[in-house]
Amino acid sequence: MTPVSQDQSEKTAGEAAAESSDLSGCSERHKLVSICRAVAFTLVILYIGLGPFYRQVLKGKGDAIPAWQMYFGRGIGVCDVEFYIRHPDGRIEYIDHFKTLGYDKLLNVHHHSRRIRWAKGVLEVGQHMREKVGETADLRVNARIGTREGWKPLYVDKRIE
Amino acid sequence: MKTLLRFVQRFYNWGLCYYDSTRSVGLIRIGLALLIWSRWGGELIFCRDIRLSAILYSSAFFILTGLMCIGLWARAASIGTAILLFIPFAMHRLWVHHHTFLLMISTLFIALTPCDRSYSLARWLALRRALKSGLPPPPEVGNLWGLRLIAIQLSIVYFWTAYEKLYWGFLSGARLEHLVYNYYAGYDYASVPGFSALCCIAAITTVTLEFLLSFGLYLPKLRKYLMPAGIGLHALFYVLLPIRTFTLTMILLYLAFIPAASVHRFIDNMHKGYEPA
Repeated sequence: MTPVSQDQSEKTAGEAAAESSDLSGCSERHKLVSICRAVAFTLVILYIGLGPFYRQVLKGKGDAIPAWQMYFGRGIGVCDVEFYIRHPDGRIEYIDHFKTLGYDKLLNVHHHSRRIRWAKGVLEVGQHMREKVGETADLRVNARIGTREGWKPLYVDKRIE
Repeated sequence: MKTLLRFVQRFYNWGLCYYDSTRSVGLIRIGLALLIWSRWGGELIFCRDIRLSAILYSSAFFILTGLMCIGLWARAASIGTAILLFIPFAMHRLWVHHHTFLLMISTLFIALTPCDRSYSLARWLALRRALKSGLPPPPEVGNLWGLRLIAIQLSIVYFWTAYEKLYWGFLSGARLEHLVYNYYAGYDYASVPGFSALCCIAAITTVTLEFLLSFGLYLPKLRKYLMPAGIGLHALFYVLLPIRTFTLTMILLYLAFIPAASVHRFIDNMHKGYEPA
């Protein structure tokens, strides 16, 4: 059967309603179905439409209420770090910590093992770097941390002990 | 007041008096069943949890989704599947995620349509009965108000996800940079020239496109441009981020925006000229 276009389908629905009005039993049933459908339609739209408003604008709680906050907290706390050694003559030598710690050889491992998160993570990597460069070097780090507002400075020219 | 009433009448006709081909909803029904298996099938195989309650839950899951897929008692099976997925969601805070909610609610909406009238075992049985009794094949037509709900749901997804990104942290591109550092750690991206600018452009483009998709998919003139753009955006997300079923669910549900008559005609045209051997 060839489907009908939307305009035709609306006419068809109207005609069907008109025809059914001739048959009182059918008409009552048709009316009841239409009312139930309209009520359900309205309730569902209120649920799916106002749910996000409640959760995202009014900051309400409730897991059964939908909210569309994709990747809301992902990446928060991740750090961008820059290690370097300050030499006695004032020269600064930047160190690629990915290479120094062998991260570049671990590119096939899960991202959890490669990323640096929070101040604690920076200091842990700093300790590993300290072991690599030796105790005498003046190892320092600049780090910024990911927050919802953007990048925030975490450490500026911090010496790794 | 008259204008308002006219608007309500038009909305009522648009939403609740949409009688058309059921092929779109048949396709969505099958797609949803496959996506549900892809998302939960592995977690619900019997050996994962051998407690009686878990075995019963898994059995109901596979029976209902199986019926939904093959299209036998598909509406009841779809409602059953939606309820089954909602129980852990609401009661045990399990699977609370936007992609699981979208799958669950779409399954409920598809159950509100005669989704078993096309591409289903029920259809095949009905055709066989009609053939035996010499009657014309049963029509593939029904009220597709559930399809309208799916379309509205997708608009809401786009609108609220775009709304959520309206803050400087995202629009500046910084939040996208965080995602890169989070998922692709192992390289000093800050040293790449133009990296921050690229993230900023990508962020603004994403928000703009999401707002456009939330309203524009209803307009045929815009739809032909927005739909490929939306599919492209989702495809990009899919390959770059661990999004799982969300992308494919969204793309599948785009069928709700294409007039069902066009989908029917398109499929008819695809089969034109076919001669059985």
